[in-house]
Amino acid sequence: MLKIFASGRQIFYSESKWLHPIFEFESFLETYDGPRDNLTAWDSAIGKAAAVLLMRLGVCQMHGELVSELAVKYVTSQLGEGKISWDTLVDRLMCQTESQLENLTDSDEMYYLLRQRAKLVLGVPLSIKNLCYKYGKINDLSLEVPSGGRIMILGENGTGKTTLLRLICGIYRPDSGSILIDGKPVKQLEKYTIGYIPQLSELQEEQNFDLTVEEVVGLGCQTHNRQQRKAAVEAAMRRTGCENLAGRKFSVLSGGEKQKVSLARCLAQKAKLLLLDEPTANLDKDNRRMVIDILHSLSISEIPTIIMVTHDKELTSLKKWSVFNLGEQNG
Amino acid sequence: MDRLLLLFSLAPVMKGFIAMSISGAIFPLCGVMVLRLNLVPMRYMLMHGVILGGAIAMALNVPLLPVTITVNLLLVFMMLMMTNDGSGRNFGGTSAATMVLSMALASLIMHVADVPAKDTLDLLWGSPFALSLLDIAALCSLALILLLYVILNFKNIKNLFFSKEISMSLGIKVRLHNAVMVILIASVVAVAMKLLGAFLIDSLLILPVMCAAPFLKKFNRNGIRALFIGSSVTGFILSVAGYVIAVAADFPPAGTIAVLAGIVFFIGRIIK
Repeated sequence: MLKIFASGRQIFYSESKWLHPIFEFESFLETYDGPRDNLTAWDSAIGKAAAVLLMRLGVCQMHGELVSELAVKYVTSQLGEGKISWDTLVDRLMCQTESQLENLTDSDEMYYLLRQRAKLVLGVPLSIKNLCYKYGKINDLSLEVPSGGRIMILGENGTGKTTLLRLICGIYRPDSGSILIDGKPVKQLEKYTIGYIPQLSELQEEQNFDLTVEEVVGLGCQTHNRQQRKAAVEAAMRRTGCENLAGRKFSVLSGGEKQKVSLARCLAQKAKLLLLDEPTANLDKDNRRMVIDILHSLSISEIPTIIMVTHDKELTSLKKWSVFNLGEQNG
Repeated sequence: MDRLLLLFSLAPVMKGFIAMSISGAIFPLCGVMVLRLNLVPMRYMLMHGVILGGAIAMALNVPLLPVTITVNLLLVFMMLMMTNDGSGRNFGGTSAATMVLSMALASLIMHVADVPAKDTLDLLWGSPFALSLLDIAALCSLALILLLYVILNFKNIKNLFFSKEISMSLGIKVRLHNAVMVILIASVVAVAMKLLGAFLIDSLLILPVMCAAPFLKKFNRNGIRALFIGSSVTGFILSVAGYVIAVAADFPPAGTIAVLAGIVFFIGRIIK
């Protein structure tokens, strides 16, 4: 059971099990417009996972009937002494989540793991089995990516990294083998599941009669309601910092601006599988950083499944991404 | 004014007016597709396809419009098959080859069936006064199909205009839409040839789009939706105004509309 109070007044209550009340509270906050300062929580059990989540949501004081030492240690290190109290203190809560988080310190990473465990991710699983294609080193390639998984595909030029992305999104047909997304072949997939961002050079379209940024961001938006659509497009543009470009033609934008818009397009689409082909290629340092920050934020909030092809060493700063080296690991 | 009203009371003039109003408002939608999908070379091929259709129709002594539409559709299917991915990306080269092939076939048919070349080449000069009721019905049906296609598939069209690969990744049937658009363009070209002739066909398809673009930009109305609407409105105004001027001044409608469109286009360029 979870109760949340704002300045002493109860604003939220849930009796769901495990960490679900906290995720429900997170959803509640999206529409809650009352005061958010001085949030306090009363929970039946607070382990490290609950402590991490409650603190992310702005709770600065918490009390639990049953509290673990791990939770106390974490809260004390982040908020200081006296911010957590208990009726009973135990060494640790007897659940897998507590063990999984025991040695982690990065709040984002813990949040990502918890959402994945709670199956609160936008992403869908990808399964590639014995894939063969005439181009590159795509020969008997097998790869599994779980829902919300993040994988970087590395490899020399000509190994077929871009080809692999095109095979996944159905632009090319494999010579043999299978690609299943959410358990289905690409052709049977629900429309707008995949958000594909090709290399910048492939988006250098002619400038006459071009689409505006607003139109591009709205391309994958699935709602038919005009107002909801507009709101989704605006929110996506705000998120990637391209709202000031709304009325401009896409083709006249700089490389960095185009990548911002492309990411906003996938955000507005609520893409469940994001395929990125060299997202930082030909960008200056600031724009590369911006793309990396957006990707990081995406991968710990909406949590789509992300597959990224890259040569960029800086992208390895995106922690906890799996790496698949095409040309070495298959065959 | 009385003379103008009297002229418009004549059936061929009124039929022409109706045809020009509808085609002026709707056919520029195809012009947007032609320009955005880089299908300008294919349009030339379709114009030559109409000459081939004309030669066949005259050789067999059958109605011209259904034959020219059929020939254009066959040419389009042939081109779609030759460009193996059906994406329309390689239409430039295949259009040139098909254009030569259709003219060669037309000349052979004219020779074998003893069709006077002059009669076939008269197709290069259309006339909105020479439309039958069947022609008007075909034009209205085609305009309705085109309008419905654009309205019902606007989102898919926008995606296709942006990137065929991204459209494919979104699950849009790119080959199907590409084929439908090319078929619509082929049919529109065949009908427009009858209205204005081969030489001035662009004043119905392309020029309204080119005329609308700088004005839309001037008023900060960028985007594909604005371009479709702007082209349609411009096409309607140009066609109606050009036709009325032509009837009033006893000028050829095709030339008048084309000159008017040309003037508006150059004004637009100056504004731009």
